[in-house]
Amino acid sequence: MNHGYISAVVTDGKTKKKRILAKMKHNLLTNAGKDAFHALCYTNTSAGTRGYGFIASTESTITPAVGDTTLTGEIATNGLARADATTKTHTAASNSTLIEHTFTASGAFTDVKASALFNASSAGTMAHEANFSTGSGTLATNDTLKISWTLNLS
Amino acid sequence: MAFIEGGSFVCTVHDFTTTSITEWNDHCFGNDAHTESGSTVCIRCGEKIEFENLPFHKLDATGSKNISLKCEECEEQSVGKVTRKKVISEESTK
Repeated sequence: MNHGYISAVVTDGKTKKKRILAKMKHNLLTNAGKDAFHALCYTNTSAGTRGYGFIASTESTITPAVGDTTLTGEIATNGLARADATTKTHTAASNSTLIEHTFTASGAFTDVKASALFNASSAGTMAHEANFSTGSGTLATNDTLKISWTLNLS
Repeated sequence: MAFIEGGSFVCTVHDFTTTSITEWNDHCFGNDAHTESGSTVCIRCGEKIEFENLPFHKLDATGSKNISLKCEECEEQSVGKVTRKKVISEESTK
């Protein structure tokens, strides 16, 4: 099924210093995600089903589990709310796709710790979930958080 | 970069499989079979851009591909500016 990695980088809005929160860290495919992918790939009879290109994040401490269906404490404000990833690219003749988005904080955050992929701008199905290797620490206005999901279908 | 736990990268035309990002980058880079297709936003105006057959972009040390593209309109404006600068430059040397 669909394995892959998550990477995340914070860039300080003032100093432009970068901090890596996660570098190609193995992510989790949820049970709901498996069901959804089977429907998407094999059993759906209508075209145009939306892909899992929405990225969400949270400040909550989570333990990703295959039974999870929502991202606990999902951020909904100040520039870090769930977003349709700006870059989605599939490498031809391979099993790999990249979903990537840069969030710009418009307020303060204490510690962003994890991320997830959804198929809708709100609610929807959560297919992938992962903790960062380290939390972001304090984020201020204009700090950016770039989250990159690499998904390998095999 | 060391081998990392996770799903393998699989090439479907060259019988190549790896979990190493470095090996994956090396295999795909410059290879016409491994182009990129998808969408992003224009780096100047934010307009959504659909692309296909873009040369393979390596995953960098932060797991990003850093795909930076301009939409046709912004690209034309960029070219126009360069052209005008060239004209001004040429005239100023006369």
